[in-house]
Amino acid sequence: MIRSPTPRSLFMAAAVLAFLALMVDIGERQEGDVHGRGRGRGRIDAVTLAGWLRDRRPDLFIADIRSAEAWEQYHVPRAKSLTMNELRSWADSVKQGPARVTLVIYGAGDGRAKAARQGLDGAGFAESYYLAGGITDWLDDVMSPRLDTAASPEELAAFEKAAELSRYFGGTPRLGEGRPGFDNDTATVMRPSREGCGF
Amino acid sequence: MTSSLNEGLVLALVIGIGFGWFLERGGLGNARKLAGQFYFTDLTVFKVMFAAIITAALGLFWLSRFGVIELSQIYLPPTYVIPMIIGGAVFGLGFVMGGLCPGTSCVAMASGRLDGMALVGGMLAGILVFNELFPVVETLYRSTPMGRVTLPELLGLPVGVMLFLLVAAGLAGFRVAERIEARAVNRG
Repeated sequence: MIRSPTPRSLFMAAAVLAFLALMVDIGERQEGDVHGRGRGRGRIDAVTLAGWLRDRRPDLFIADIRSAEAWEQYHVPRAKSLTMNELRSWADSVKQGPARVTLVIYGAGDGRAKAARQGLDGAGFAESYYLAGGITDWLDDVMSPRLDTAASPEELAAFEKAAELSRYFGGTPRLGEGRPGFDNDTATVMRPSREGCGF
Repeated sequence: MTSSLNEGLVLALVIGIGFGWFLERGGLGNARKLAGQFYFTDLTVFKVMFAAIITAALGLFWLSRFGVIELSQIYLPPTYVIPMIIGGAVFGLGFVMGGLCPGTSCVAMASGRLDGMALVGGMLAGILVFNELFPVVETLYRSTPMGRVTLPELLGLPVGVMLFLLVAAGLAGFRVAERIEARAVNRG
C-alpha cells in the first residue's frame, strides 16, 4: 500500500492563509456600508445606486474602470470610463478643489473596484464606495430583477422597489425563474459571458 | 471567431492538458486506486481533491482581494436540488462500478487503458440517450431551482469564516484519512 505524502509546511501555509482570511473578513465587518451595516467597507448595492441616479444626486461621480470597449457596449448611466491612472489623476484634482464629491467605482465585479476604492481612501471625497457585484449586479438587480413566485412579503416589497427603478432605467423586471442561459432580454445580451461546460 | 474566444480556447486547452497530467501523476487514472476510496483502503482521491479545493479556495480569495481576479467572472452553475441529488447518486454508482469518474476516465483512456475507453464510450452513450429522452425528463431536470448560490450565502456566514472552516475541515480530514489508511495497511 503506497501512502501519499503530506508536507507539514504546506499544511501550515494553508492554515496561516485561512486564518488571515478570517481576520480580514472580521476586520472588514467592523467597517460600514452605505446603509451603516457592518457588511463591508465603502460598499454600495446596485439598487441603492439606481435610487441615487433616479434622484439626480448632483454630487455623484461614477467611475467605470473596465475597458473602454466594455464601457461602450454598456455602462451604468452617468458613468465615466476611466483607467486606474486616470482615476488617480482625477482624484488628485478633486482633492485640491472645493467640490464635495460622492464617488462610486465599479468594474465587472467586486475585486478591482474595491481595491481601487481602498487605494483612493482619504483622497478628499465626501463619500466613496465601490459597487458590490459590479456591472453584473447592476444588470441582474436593476435591469433584470427577478422575484421567485414563492417570495415572502418582504421580498415582494423589495422587488417592487427594484422593479420601479428597473422600469425607470428601461429594464425588464420579471416574476418566476427564467430558463438558465436562454433568456433573450437586453440585460442578458449585455452581460459578460461566463457560461461554461460545468466540468 | 473573436481573438478573445481564441485566447480562451487556447487557455482551456493548456489548462485541460495540465489538469489531465496532474490527475495521471496523482495516480487518479488507475481504477483500483479510485475504487479504493469507496472501500476505505486508499483515500488518495479524497486527499487530492480536497487539496485542490483548498488551494483553489485560498487562491481565489486572495487573488480577488488584490484585484487580480474578478469572482463575478467565474462560472457558477445554478443549483437544482432534486435533480442534482439523483444525478449525484447515479454518478456515484457508476464511479464505484467502473472505478473511474468522467474526468479520470478520459485520463485513463489517454493512457491507453481499456477500462477508460469503455467508460468514455458509456459516458457518450449516456449523453446521447439523455438528450433523446430530454422531453420526458425536462420537468424533473428543472425542478427545485435555487439559483446560483454559494455555501457562505446559504449558511449566512462571511466568506472568510467559511474559508477558515473549509480549510480546518480539510486539514482535519487529511489526518483522519491517514489514520484510516494506516488501519487498512495493518489489516491487510
